[in-house]
Amino acid sequence: MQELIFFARLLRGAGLVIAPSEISDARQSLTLINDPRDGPDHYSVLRSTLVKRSEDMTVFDSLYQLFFGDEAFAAARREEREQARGQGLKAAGLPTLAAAMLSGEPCHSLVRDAVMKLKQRDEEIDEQVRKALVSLDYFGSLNSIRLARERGHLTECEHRTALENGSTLVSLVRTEVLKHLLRQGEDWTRIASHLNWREKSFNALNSAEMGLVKASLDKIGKRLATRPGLKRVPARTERLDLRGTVRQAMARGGGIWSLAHNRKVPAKPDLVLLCDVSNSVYRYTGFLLRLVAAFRERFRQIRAFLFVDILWEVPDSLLSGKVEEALADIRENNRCSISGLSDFGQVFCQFEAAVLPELNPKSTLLILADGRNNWRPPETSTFKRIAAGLRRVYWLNPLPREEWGREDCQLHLYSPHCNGVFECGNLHQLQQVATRIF
Amino acid sequence: MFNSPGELRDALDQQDYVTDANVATVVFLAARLGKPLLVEGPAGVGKTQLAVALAGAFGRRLIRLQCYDGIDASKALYDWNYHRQLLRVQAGQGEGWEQAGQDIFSREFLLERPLLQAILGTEPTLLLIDELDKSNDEFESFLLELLAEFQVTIPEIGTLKAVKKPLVVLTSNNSRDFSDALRRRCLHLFIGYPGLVQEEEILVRRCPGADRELIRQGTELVQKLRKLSLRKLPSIAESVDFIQALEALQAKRLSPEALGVTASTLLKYPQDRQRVLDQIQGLIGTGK
Repeated sequence: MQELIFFARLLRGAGLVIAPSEISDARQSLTLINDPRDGPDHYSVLRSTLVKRSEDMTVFDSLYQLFFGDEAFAAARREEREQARGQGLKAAGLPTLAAAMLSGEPCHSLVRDAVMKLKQRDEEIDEQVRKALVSLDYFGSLNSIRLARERGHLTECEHRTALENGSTLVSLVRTEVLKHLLRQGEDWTRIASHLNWREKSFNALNSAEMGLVKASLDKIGKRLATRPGLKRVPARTERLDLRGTVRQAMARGGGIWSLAHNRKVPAKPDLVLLCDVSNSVYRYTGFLLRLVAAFRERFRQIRAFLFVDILWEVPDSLLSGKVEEALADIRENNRCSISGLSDFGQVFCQFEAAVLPELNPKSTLLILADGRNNWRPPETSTFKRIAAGLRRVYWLNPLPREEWGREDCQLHLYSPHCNGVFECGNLHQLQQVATRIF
Repeated sequence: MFNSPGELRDALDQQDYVTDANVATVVFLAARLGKPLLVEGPAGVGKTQLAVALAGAFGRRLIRLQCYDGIDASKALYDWNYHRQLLRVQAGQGEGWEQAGQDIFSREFLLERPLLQAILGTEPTLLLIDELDKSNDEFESFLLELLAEFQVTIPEIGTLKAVKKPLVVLTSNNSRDFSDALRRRCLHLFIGYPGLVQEEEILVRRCPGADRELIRQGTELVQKLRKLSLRKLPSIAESVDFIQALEALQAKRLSPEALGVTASTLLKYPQDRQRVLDQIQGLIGTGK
């Protein structure tokens, strides 16, 4: 029981929400199944009772393997491996690791050797993983695979299989690095928090975690999109509208001839986004735009503006398409930067002159920026007039709260005029803010 | 009731539902612990079919509630039969206010929707709440009482407890996130696309007349297609249609020509079909 509680606490440290009742379910289930730790059902029991979101499975798998050992994890995956038998692809003149990535052959010993050679224990875990991948020639192999695809030596299916196996290899390296650290006496808490992608700064996410964050944002967006507001509109069915029914009856001489119904619908405000795309905030903007795009039907109209030191309006077609590609294009073509350094004062002046007169005064303005103004004039009075001309102004800041107002961060000058200022550096914070605002 | 996941897996097998040990274990636990089962996974991998097979294996009556945007308690749980209530009021003119009020809010004037049928049913039932992700937050919160306590509250009548606890299966295509409160009340099962061997076995069961070699080739092709970046990946339902289409065309082996005419059973978007047909040799020509 103590072991189970400790494991559940580790999962909590890695960002999973686990209630005491779920630990109790897990304990009861283990008693029912009575399977040893290295039996195939042990893994299924813990996963179904402790993990309730499919996006948490990767974290669970990593911690399960680290905590219960390779044999238990291998037993859990035996049937899955048998299912995939004979699906490996033949290598076509590729280097060793690239060939292994194509065929899906396990490279445990290669990985173990690469990790054992790592020396600096004090380095960040991601840096250690990167070094191990470099010594395995992972990046070179990826390049060989890309070239083979470009030259037509690999089909699309083979190429994708190799990339998929490459991701598995990265997970394997990460797990080996974590095991290595644990052997050297690393604290379990640090290991668990390293796996917590929901509370990792958007700037520190690896590619697999970015995929999880994007998928989560899409789901959060859909959830927000379906959340009903307080407004009610007539409907053919749903809730009986007593007032409407009486009103109809009065109009027809007092007799009830038909029943009126109504239903709740979401409010549809106008949303204006003002996002910094300077180097320090660029990635955060990508995630915010993705979230907003996922529940755009909640708004009557969305206008998005990007800036570094000049303002640029994002065309609607870009906002509804692939947000990341649109952002990359905007940055490459330097559409909103002259000096490359953020200038909030200048941007607010432009906004007041060119955009504010066109906006509905009932609009909500959402600003995503770190408030670092590079010691330029803040134009606080302009910002005050903008805030007064709109219904609500919210400021999301990716910087940790303790850094607000330090050095060139001038958020403290703007925050008195905002309806809310929120720290928003990771998925967890973005989700909380979005739920609160919308 | 089954004594082990293995027994349950065999029973599902007899219902022609081929599955793996993980699914059998989780379903077994849900039944033994009396907890609702939340099944997530891509469309067409057999989530609804699992509930149907479970109803058969456990010998329970299947009650299905299909969720959609805008579903509410009046569609899912109960509604008052307003027209009947009005008739009752008109028929009883001259009656006291209290008497009429008591009469029209009794079970006689209640329209039982699927959830209430499952709660009040005297025979063993399996309640399938299908595609819950299509509903909204309000409906999700409304389900919490049912999922935790197997009871529902009707303000005018009071709380109704389940006569016989139904086995509850909720399915979702994972397109919308659910609250922690709902997830906490359920056991979670994720069903992904099946592996090569399992899919081949499913196709053999579902298309008994098809050539075994054709099924093998078809399965390999479908597994490869799932690796491509397509707008809609083929699911099991589509691979069954594909093999049945090939069988109807009396194809013995998978050829580019056969795939050309049957691709619409596997791929539902023209751009996906074009993309696959453009690389048809690489997919079925090399035999990799």
